Amino acid sequence: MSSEKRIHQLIEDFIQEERSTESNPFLSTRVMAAIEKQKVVSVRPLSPVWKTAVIVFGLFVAVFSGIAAGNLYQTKSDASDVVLINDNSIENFSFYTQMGNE
Amino acid sequence: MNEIELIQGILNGNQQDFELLIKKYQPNVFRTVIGLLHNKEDAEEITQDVFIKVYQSLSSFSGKAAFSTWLYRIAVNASLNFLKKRKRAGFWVGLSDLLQIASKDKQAETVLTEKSEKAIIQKAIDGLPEKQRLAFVLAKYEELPQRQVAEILEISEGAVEQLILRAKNNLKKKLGTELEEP
Repeated sequence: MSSEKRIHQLIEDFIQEERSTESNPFLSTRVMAAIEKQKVVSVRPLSPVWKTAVIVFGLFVAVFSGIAAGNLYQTKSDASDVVLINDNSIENFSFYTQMGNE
Repeated sequence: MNEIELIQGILNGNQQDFELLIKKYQPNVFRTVIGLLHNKEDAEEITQDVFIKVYQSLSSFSGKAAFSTWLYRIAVNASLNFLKKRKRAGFWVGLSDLLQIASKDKQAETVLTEKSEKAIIQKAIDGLPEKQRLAFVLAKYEELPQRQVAEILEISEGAVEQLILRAKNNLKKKLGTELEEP
């Protein structure tokens, strides 16, 4: 047999052998099971536009709630507190003056 | 029941129609995939993925081309994607193999496997340029007419003829040197 014919025959034999490989007869069952499984598991993903919108909305909510919370805070400046802080009102100076008089 | 009725049935939610469709086209998809992957387990996995993809995107099938052409395109793309992923993974496996000291027995076994005729033919087919390989597999494994191969690969019939001719010549050249009789 010439070399060219032999090569041609080898290629044909190789192809025939692979062609005759039987696939799994239960493939359709496996495919249907995989599709059913995907139906149960799959949650419809958000589109990129909605994802961006949700992120921007989240940022706005965070910024404005921060500003609102900041505005809610008020510092107390009652006069009575000021008096309490003033040392002069609680310090007993008469004690020192009395000591000096002794 | 013809193709259009089957597809309409599937789109209306009839799962039995889809099972019929799988049974009808499973051998064609499997042969195409095994022609590109040369491994039964991988071919079964990819065939399964192809039909899942078909189910998910059947509503986008416009009917401009024949259903089988659309199906072959999905099978070819899925196989090529699988090969690309395997090539990427193979780089790291090869790197780890280089770092390991292989035993002498393993080396001898590899040499024997590589020298076997089937391995040489498989390597030669896999070594063809992508378009040549696709045209060759579709024409030889599926015995599709050049017109349909042209539709699947979205090229002209003349180009398909040239690709198959070049593929055959390349295989003869490669195998001629490697399988030379003593």
